[in-house]
Amino acid sequence: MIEDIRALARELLEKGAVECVIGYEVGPTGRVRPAFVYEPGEVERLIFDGRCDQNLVTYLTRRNKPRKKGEEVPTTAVVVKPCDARSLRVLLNEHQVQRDKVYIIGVACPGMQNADGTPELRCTRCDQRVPLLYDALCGEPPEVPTVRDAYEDVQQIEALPLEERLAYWLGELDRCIRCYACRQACPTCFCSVCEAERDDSLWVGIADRIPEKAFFHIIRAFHQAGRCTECNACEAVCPMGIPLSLINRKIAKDVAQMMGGYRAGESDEPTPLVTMLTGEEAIDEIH
Amino acid sequence: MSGDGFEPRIVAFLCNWCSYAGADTAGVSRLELPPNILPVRVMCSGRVSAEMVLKALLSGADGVLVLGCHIGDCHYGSGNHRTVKRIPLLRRLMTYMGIEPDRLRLDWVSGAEAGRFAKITTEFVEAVRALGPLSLPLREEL
Amino acid sequence: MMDAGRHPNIELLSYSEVVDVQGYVGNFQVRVKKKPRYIDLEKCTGCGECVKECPVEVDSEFEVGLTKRKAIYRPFAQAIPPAFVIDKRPSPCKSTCPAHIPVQGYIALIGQGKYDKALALIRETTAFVGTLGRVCHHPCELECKRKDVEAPLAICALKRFAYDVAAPTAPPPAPVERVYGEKVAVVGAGPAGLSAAYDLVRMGYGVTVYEALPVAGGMLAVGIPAYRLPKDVLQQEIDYIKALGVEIKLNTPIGRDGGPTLEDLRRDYDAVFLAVGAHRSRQLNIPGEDLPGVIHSTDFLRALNLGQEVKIGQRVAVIGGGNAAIDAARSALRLGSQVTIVYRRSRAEMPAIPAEVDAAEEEGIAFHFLATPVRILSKDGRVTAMECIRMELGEPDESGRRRPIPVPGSEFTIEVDTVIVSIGQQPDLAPLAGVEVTGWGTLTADPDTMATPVEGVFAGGDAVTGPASAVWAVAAGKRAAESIHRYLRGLDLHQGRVFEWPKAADIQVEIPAGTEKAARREMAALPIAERKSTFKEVELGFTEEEARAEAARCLSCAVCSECLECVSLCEAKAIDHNMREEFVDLEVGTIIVATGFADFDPTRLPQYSYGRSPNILTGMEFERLTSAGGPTGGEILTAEGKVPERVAIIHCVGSRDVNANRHCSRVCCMYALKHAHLVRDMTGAEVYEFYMDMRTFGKGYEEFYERVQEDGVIFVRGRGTEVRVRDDGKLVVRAEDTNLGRPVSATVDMVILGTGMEARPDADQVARLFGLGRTEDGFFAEAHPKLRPVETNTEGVFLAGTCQGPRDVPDTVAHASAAAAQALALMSKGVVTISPTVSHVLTRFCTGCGKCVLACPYNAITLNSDGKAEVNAALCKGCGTCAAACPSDAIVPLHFTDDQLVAQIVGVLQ
Repeated sequence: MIEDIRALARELLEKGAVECVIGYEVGPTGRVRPAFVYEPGEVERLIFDGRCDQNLVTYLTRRNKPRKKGEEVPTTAVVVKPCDARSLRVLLNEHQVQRDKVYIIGVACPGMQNADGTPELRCTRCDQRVPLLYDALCGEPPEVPTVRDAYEDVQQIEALPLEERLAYWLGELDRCIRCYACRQACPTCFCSVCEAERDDSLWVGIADRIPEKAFFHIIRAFHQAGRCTECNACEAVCPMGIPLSLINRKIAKDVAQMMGGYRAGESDEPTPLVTMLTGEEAIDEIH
Repeated sequence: MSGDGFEPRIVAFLCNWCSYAGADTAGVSRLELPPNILPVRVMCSGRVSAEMVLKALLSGADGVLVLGCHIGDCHYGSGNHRTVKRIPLLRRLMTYMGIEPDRLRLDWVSGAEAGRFAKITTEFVEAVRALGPLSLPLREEL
Repeated sequence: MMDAGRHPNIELLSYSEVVDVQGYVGNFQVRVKKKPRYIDLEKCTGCGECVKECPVEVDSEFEVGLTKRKAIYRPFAQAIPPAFVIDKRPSPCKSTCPAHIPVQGYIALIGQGKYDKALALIRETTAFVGTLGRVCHHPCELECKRKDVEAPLAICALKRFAYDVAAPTAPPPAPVERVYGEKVAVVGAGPAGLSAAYDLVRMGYGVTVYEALPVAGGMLAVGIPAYRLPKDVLQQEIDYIKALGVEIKLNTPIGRDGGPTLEDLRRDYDAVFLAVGAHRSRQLNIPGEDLPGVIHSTDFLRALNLGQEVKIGQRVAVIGGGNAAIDAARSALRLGSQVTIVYRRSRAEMPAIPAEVDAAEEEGIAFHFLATPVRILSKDGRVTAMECIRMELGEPDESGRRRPIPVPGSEFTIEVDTVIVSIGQQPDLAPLAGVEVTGWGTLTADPDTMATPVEGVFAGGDAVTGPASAVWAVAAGKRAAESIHRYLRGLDLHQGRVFEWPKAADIQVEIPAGTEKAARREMAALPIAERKSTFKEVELGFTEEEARAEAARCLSCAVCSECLECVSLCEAKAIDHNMREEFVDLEVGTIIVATGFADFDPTRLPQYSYGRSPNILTGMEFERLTSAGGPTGGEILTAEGKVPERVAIIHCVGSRDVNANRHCSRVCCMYALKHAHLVRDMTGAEVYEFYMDMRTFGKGYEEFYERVQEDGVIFVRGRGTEVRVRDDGKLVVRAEDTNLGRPVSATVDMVILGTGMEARPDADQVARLFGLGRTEDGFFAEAHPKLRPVETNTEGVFLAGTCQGPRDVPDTVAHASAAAAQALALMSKGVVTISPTVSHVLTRFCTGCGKCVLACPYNAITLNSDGKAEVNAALCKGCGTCAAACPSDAIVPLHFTDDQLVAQIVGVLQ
């Protein structure tokens, strides 16, 4: 598979079809990291295996776009796993990426692994092996294993008594150091100036205290309602190990349940929170 | 839980055309309304964002009431169709994080429903009174 | 009202409805639907001649049902504009009829004894009056609303009656004058071809019909036996068509036997209509089918109808369940044979007209249901028997009928010497080179316009649909004629035509109260013995009395029957039955809503027995009774025509009552006093007023109250609680006299209920249309109960009169004048101030994600060429839904910005 990716990357760069190929490489410490390849000669750096769990779609938004001599590159190719493809669909829906400016190198996903070789938890819940959209597909789709109940962990929290839930979240969120790594890694968190850092907004202060930290995380998660594809990037980069995806996935679960099975990034339907749905007259969950 | 003499503070976001008018009608009709309701007028319940609800709760409110026009009667046609999804979703998230669901209520009051306005506000104040004060660390200082 | 109607600056859009309101104060766009009046307002002089011959009567709305009005009417004498209007609604019969014959029209004319006019009216649509009146499968009768009372009308038989009684004596028509130079060729002189020819010749085209057979009429002539459709009836109708100028060339097949080809016709004529029918019989495809004793029903009936000699045996089996099978069986019976019908499904699935099946059974024809032949046995080349197999019914097939499945091992034999096969027909299209044929072996043609893929060639009837009923062929011919006319005149084939009529099930018809059951008349029939030996017509038609009694059963669903009597009476030529609704777009700066109130319906309070005696009246009804133009010419009389001796008036019916409306209707006390005064003054009767409180709130009102007291009216303080109708018709009113503190009762001849005012039932829709609020009582809400009683929450929209709440005439005039003044105040300024609450985009924060664009209920936000959101301030109404949708806080509704809201939230909590 990696030979296919490299050959494709080389061809795209040689033809000038794209200026940069975003993929994965092994960094100096031996860990897999995102790679930005600008020259055809450098494609041998690229790798792909079960360690490549970063969501590279993040690098397609204006905020994080690769630059060449300080200029944003106009065209890119990006290696996209099935989960990443859903993020990409959200960005396309929200006009953050122009489809004709990006070449999608889809990979048939073998599932990501932890350092000890066990499958990543989120991959045990996923049955998608081929991305929903791509320009070229590399690799053969492996067989789909039986998937685990997607929201077991959310349900565990839901089952706790109210006071224990509050204590749990206050404890978890209090560990936040407001480094914003979660926000930076999130493909759908692309505001040019974050609400939490606006100097003219009084919604949320910048203090490193529990009310401000809770406000930031709840609102950040709520802003992803109907948009979060549960890629886990936020939680993966959190230096404090806060289980952030438990918040996002609770919302995703409720959105699907309340709004006709909606799952972000699976179609070009926008988030149902901004549209009118048929049958809304009948919603009785108002209080 | 309910402390002696506890008077809950309720921020009520009222849409201009139906529920604010309904509150007005209730006043004109000399209906008894709980003084715990602290109204904030918005043009449409569709304006009420998660930030506004959260801000009220973290700034000292013991409960938040969002009142809009009945579905189909929105002065703006469909503004409340966004509210009807946003607020219940937020309410579920809030509960998930350990805050009693009864501290947030979305309901509909038309400009004519003075009695309904009085009933909903009274009911809500009593429900929050039964829950007691919302205790979150450092809440008053936000 | 007259002044308003005549004022040069006032345009009255009567019989119209506002369907859409857009924009804002100073710039409203209002869309108005003008319902078709069917009368030209400019031409109508209001003379009322048209009403004289209108055969339809319904309850008059203005006289609250105390009198009747016609289908063409003026609501009341002083109505503005004074022009008449025709009340036209869809009717199930005409809508269901494939040819859309105005059924109710000819039935109404028959009911009035105008038989010539009934015949002429049907002939406006079709020439086949006597024919369809005999052979039509009359789908109209299945949908006739009278079936909800007891049984549908005998529509088909009435059509036949119109023909039988009027046509034979009528002189032949004069030829129609040619209007257009074009000539049309019609191939096939069946019901489809002749119907197209009939319509085309009347439009003024030259028409030549080519017919392969030696007779005209198609299947009507050679498929239907004479005992159902006598030859002279059909011939007379064909002669009628010919007399108009249609040329029929018999014995002239197209594309074979030396006749002209389709190409020849296309060259020699300007358009061609192919209506060749379906005359080729389907094969059974079983062994023995080629034996000489096996014949096909089409051949059998054709030979019989053409007077040729037909030899059949003593024991005849007919295979099939359609009308042709029944016709063949009954014809064979008349030739002296014993006949058995073998059909593979059950009786319920038979496609034949049920009455025909019944008649066949009556005549002694045997039936073998759920059986089908597997082979025909013979001896010495002659049929001796037929081996059949039993069937059972499985799942429904694509026709919706259950599919027959053979039962293995259930074979049995019937001894027969003749087998008549009647399992369906197909068109014979081989000679028509160049046409397109479907997989079913029928001609390809557009089901709406009848146009074929070949330029200038149209097709219809059985050749397109496969074997169907005569009326469908007539309908196809009519559609084709209209299309050919449009084609020849270079007009669009579709525009303005109605192809889909409303479904009968969707047509709401209220059966008038008091409709009494009346049995459906059936035609007399020839005695069975006579039927078995002759081809004389079986059904004998209605007598005049029968026909008129049957016609009287019509419920007049459509109200206007389209008999067109009014058209001939109108000297101003103002009547146009083909008017369509129109839409008018108005640009206005202000809107005044003055939609009025609804009178409380006292049947909602059964204790008052309203509807159980004609002498229990609402206030409004009593008002009409005392009017000089009312049902008694203004005299106060009971329903029995007597002057009442004692009258009770009950206040607050439907008002100040938790079971109806809680509000006081304000006007009833005063009108009740007026009624009391009128009764005393005009009849001298004793009058009892049952009141709760006497509300004489206006100038001079208390003085009037005193005067009525002096009139000798007996006032009882206490709500009238019950009205009972005694067996002798007297009315007993019960009440509690709160002054005496005990129950009282009065026995009277007439009760007047002081019914209150309430919001109109459509107030909800009107409120949404104009963006109005409503108060708890259902009336439209004013902007402020004390200080802004005329304005509404939607700027530029004002209220006038009782749509805002109950009020009497002087108050209504004052309120309306105030509304006019408010509107004028806006107009005189010439400019309007609109709300500054609009959304504004902070471009540097906007990411162009488009969530605000989707959330905006007014489509006021777009993404500009830089990919940033942009608000059209003229469209934005300031709801702020966009701001809640924006995660970047990049869009702010002015006056409700994030900062302002934060300050308020924090502020109220301090």
